[in-house]
Formats: sequence, structure tokens, C-alpha cells
Amino acid sequence: MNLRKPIEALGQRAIDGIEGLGEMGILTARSLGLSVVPPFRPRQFLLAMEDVGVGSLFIVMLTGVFAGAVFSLQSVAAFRMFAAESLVGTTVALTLSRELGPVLTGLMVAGRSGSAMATTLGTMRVTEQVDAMEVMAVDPVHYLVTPRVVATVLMMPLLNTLFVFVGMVGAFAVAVGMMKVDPGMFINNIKVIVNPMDLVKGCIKAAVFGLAIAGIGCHKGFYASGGARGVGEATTSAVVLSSVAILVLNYFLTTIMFT
Amino acid sequence: MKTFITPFKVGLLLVIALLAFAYMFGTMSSSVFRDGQGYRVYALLDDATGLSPQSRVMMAGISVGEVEAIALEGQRARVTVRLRRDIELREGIEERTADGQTVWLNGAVLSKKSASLLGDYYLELSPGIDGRVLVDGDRIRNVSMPLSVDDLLVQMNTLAASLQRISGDVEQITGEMRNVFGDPETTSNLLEIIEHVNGMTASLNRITNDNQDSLRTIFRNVEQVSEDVRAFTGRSARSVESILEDVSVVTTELRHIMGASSADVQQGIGTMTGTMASLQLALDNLNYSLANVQEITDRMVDGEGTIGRLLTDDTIAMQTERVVTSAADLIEPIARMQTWIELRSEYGLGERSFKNYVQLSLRPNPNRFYILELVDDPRGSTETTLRTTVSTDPERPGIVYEEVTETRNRFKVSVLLGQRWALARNNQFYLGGRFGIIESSGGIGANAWAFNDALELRMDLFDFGQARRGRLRTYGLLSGRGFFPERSLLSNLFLQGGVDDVLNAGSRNFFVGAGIQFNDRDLRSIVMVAPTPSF
Repeated sequence: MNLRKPIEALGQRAIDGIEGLGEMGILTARSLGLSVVPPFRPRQFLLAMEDVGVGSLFIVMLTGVFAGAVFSLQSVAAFRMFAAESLVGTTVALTLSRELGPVLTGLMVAGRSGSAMATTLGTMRVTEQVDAMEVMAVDPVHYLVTPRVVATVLMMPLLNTLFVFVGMVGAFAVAVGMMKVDPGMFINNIKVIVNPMDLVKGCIKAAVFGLAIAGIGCHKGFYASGGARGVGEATTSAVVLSSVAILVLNYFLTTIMFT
Repeated sequence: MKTFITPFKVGLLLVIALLAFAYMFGTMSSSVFRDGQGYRVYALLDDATGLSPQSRVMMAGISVGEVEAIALEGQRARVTVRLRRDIELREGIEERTADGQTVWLNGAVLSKKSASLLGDYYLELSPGIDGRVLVDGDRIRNVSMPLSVDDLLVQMNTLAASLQRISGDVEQITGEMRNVFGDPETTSNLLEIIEHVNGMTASLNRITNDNQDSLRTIFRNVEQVSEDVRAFTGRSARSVESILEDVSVVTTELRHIMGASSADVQQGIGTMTGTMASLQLALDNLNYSLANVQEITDRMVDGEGTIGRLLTDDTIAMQTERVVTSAADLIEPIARMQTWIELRSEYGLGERSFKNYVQLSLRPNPNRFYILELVDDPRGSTETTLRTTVSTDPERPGIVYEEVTETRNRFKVSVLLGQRWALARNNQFYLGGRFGIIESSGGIGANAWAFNDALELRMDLFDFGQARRGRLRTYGLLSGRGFFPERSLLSNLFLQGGVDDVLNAGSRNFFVGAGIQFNDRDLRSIVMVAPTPSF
């Protein structure tokens, strides 16, 4: 009798996990499907875009500058051993546009906007505003989830682009300003070796991450239960789950796109 | 308000992000195809390692296209490159070589070049000057492959092996040489021998050169003399021999007579007649010999023949004497010539640096000297040049005039001719002058000696610059010669002190120093007691 319980609990957790994943997938798919169904509610879209895009802009750019700068610093030190400092720009540009840009932008947005989504939706759920909406015959998924998912998917590539840009500026400043790398070779080697498709692929990654962040954040909030405590738990698990999801997805996306 | 601000913010973000994207897309894009799609040509390479689609194709270091595709064709790599439309390639002119191969003279060449040691490659294109112009789909006939790192390593391996062998041989040889020369006794012997040979050959050279004619005459005379003597002795020797033989016969006969019995006297007398006849013959021979000698001596007295001339004519004697005298004249100054070496080092109190001299002074007589001196001067030599820089950099002024004053630390050389005169009869005081090149610039100097050369004062004026007065250096040398016994090491040492650059207040400098002075005889005695360096 005693032995059955932990095994049962383990099985239950697995079932819950798979169930949650399925719920999340359904919710995300539904919200995307509803984005082409009127009413379109442009105001809701704009507000969500402002929240995700403009709200995260500062922190994303700050992260970008320092990520680029520190990466440049380390690369110069390493490449100087082979007298190949002129390849620093290439290295930083490749890394930022392919991997670091999308991943770090995703983590930042997950931490800031994903958590906000879970909190907002969770609070609305536990204060029964979502139920009220249903009573008023307004589809809460259409009204609350769709704008957020679409806005995140649209904003992530933009944020990623800006991240890479300021990251390159930071890297250039450190390499050329501090470490005296030839600025001409810095830019020229980027031209020769980095392909613009790298940037495009990075933006595609960022969009996928945006979908994951918004899907997880909205799902955790939308199905939150148990009062204020439940909202807190939903927020925490939204951030953790989306961070892990970003890293895991990144591996598979890299495998698909760059190999 | 909110209704306006939110769309504005989102729109602004969109615009900024799109601008950044466009800029980076441009930065990362290396496409050279602005005018349409360019055209394609291909080449067959033996090895396309390190090349990939989108690898650069350069001409004169400028990107003119890219590799579009690499495929296997037979056993070679068919590399298709896409080039800018304005790049015009020539096929070259087909020619068959003696061994039946086809070459394309003066055609375009596609070379695989190494971009780095790590195995990156790009293609370098040379357009060619002859033949028809290549169009889309044509083949570049000439290709050239670089020496790969692998090939280099193989070659270096071979090279290293032979180097090792060579160094082994060298080691063996030097080892043997060390055995031979490592012995200090051998070294000193060798040095001595070399010194002697040097001196001998130099003297001989000079004597033979100067007296070539006289020597030739002497040799000829000597030859003649020996010939005459041989003839004389040859002839006389035969006569004397026969005389002696006869005398021997005579004495034997006489002994016979004395020792023989009276009965034999009759017979003895008979024999005696024979003996007398023999004696007569011997006397005749002797006479003849003496006549010969008489004739020879007569001729000698008359001055005939070489010996006669030698005996009677005093020209040869005088000539010989003259030769010997002039040879002596020649050798004497060389023998008397003294070589003095002076090493001195001085410490500038103002500059806080050392200045070193090595001086070689040749003295054909005690009062004349030729000096060659090497100076290591920390002050160096200062040069002022006017440099004009013309720049096309817009951020800088077009023409920059710079006055560059450059001070280089370097060796200086002094070459001087000097003479001195005794002031007093006892040779205690001398005054002298010298001139020539002082520290790589023209200069003159004065010297004074006192107390048997124990104290020497020197004053040099040199290095006349445009903007400065000449460099006047005054200093005194106090030698150990006055205080220590001659030929001791201490007597060769000296102390010195003085002022440098007296006339220019800015660089005036007091200095003290010490040094050693010795001549070749001292050197010999020093070398005898000092250990000889060995290999």
C-alpha cells in the first residue's frame, strides 16, 4: 500500500506534465488561430507590443552592450595568441547573430514580459475576471492571450536585431577603442565571413522563442489557481520553464538551421 | 494621450529595429554582384581542399567574385566561380610543347592561395592578356596550386634530417679542433710562430722589393764565381792527385833503396834510373800544375774572371756595402717602431655615464706618433634634419615641417698624426701637437709631457657644430711609470681627470677615469704571465 503511493505520485506528475504541455499547445494554437478572426482589437495588440517590445528594450540593449563588450574582450585576448585579432569582429558577429542574440534576448523577455503575463493573467483568473469575461460572452483567449502571443512573436525579432546591433557596437568599442584592433579589418572580416542569412536565422529563432515565452507565460497565468500564492507559483514556473524551453529549443533550432 | 503614445512607441521601436537590421545586413553582406548576376566560368583543380561555395575570388587583392559550386569531375574538382561582369578574362593561346602537352600561353590563371596557416584558402585570379575573351560557361585553362602545409612539413623533415647530419659532422670536426687547439701551450706557440712569420715576411718583402736589382746582380755574380771555382778545382785536383801518386811511388822506391842490401845496389841503381825518370815525370807534372796556378793567379791579378774581379775590383764590395747599409736603413725604423696600446675608460660626473677608448698608437721614433682610436661615446652624435611631410589625410594639415634632432649612440673614430719636441736636453719635458680626425670630426690638439712621460696633459678641440662652439676637452693623465719599477704591470696603469666640452656651458662635463698603456714589448711580457685564452 505504502509503495504504491510514490509510484502513483510519480505517474501522476508525468501525466500532469504531459497534460500541461498539451494544454499549453492547444492554448497557443488557439490564440494564434484566433488572431485572424475578428474582432481584431488593435488597441490590445498595441498595448501588448508596447509591454513586450518597448518595455524590454532598455534591459535588452543593456545586456547586449555588455555581452558584446565582454565577448570581444575575451576574444581579443584569445586571438592575440595567434595574432589573429582581426577575426574578433567576425567571431562576435557570428556568435551574437546566431546564438547569443536570440538566447539572451529570449531570457530577458522571459524574465520581464513572460513573468508579467503569468502574473496578470493569473491575477485575473484568481479574481474571477476571466470568468466574468466568459459570462459577458467575450472569449478570454481571444481577448487576453492572442494579443500577447502575437505581440511577443513579432517583437522578439526586433529586440534580437537591436541586441545584436548594440552588441556589435560594444564589441567594436572594446576591440578598437581599448584593445587597438584594426577597425578596417574588424568590419571587413565581418563582411567576408559572416553571412546576412545568419542574422535572418537568428531572428527566426527569436520569433520561435517569443512564441514559447508567450505560450508558457499565458498558459501558466491562464490556468493559475489557489489565490495569490498560486499566482506567485505560476509566475515562477513560467520564468523557469520558458528559460529552459529557450535553451532546449535553441539546440534543436541550431541543429535544423545551421548544420 | 495614451492612445497616441503607445502606437508611437511601438512604431519607433519597429523603425529603429528595421534600420539596425538593414545596416547589419549590409555590413555582413559581402556580395560583389551589384550589376546583375555576373557570369560563371569554371576550372579543374587537383585539390579543392579549403574551398567552399562562397569562398572569395580575388584579383589583385580585391574581391571580384565567389565560388559558386564545387563538384567532382573525373578525378579532379570542378570549381565554378561567379565573377563580376566587368572582369574580362582571356583564354590564352594554345601551344603544344615538345613533350606533347598543351599549354595556354598568356591566358587567365586561377590559383588557390592560402589565406592563413590554418588551412583557409581563396582563389586568386589573374586575367591573362592573349586569346579570346571568356564568356559564361567557359573554362579557365591554367590553374596553379599552392604548396600545402603538409608538403612543407614533408620537405622540412627531409631538410631536418640532412641538417642533423651536417651538424653531427661539424660537431665532430670542432671536437677534433678543440683537441688540437685546446692545449694552451699549442695556442701560445702558434701565436708566437705567427708573430714571427709575420715580422719576417714583412721585412723580407720590403728588402727584396727595394733591392731587387742589386740582389739580381749579386746572385748572377755568385753563380759565375762558383762556376769558375768548379772549373779551377776540377783541373787542379787531377794534377795534384797525379803528383801525390808519383810522390808516393818515389818514397816507396827510396825505402826500397835504403832497405835493400848492397848486393842489390847495382840493381838499385838501375831501378834508381827508373825512379829518377819517374821523379822527372812527377816534377814535370808539378811544374805544369804550378804553371797553371801561376797562370790563374796572373789572370786574377789582372782582374780577369769573376774571382779576379772580386779580388781586384772594389765596386762589388762597395755595392754590397751599400746594399747592406740600405737594408739596415730600411729595417732599423721598423725594428725601432713601437706599437702602443691604450685602453681607457672615463666616468662623466655630469652625465653619469662611461665613455671608453681603445687607442692604437704607432711610434716610428720616440717623438712622432700616429694614433688610431675607437671611441664608444654615450653622448653619441647629434644630427638635425628638416623633414617635410605632405599628407592627403583630411584630418591633418597638408604639409608638416618638422625639425628632427636625432642623437645616435655610436662608435666614433679618431685618426691623428702627432709630433713632439723636447724642451730640455734631459728629455724631461716635451711639447707636442696633433691633428686629424678626432671622434669622427676634424680637430686639432696639443699635448705636454713632463717627468719622463709620467704626467701628460692633453687638450683637443673638435666637433665644430653650426649652432655650438667646438668641443674643447682638457685632461691630464698621471701614469704609474713615475712611481713603479719599469715593466711592472702597475707602471702601465694611469689615472686621468679633466673637463669635456669646456666652451659650451650646457653640456660641460667633468670626468675622471683610468686606463692602461702598454707597448708591444710590455705586451709580450704581459702575455707571458697572463693565461692564454683557449677555445
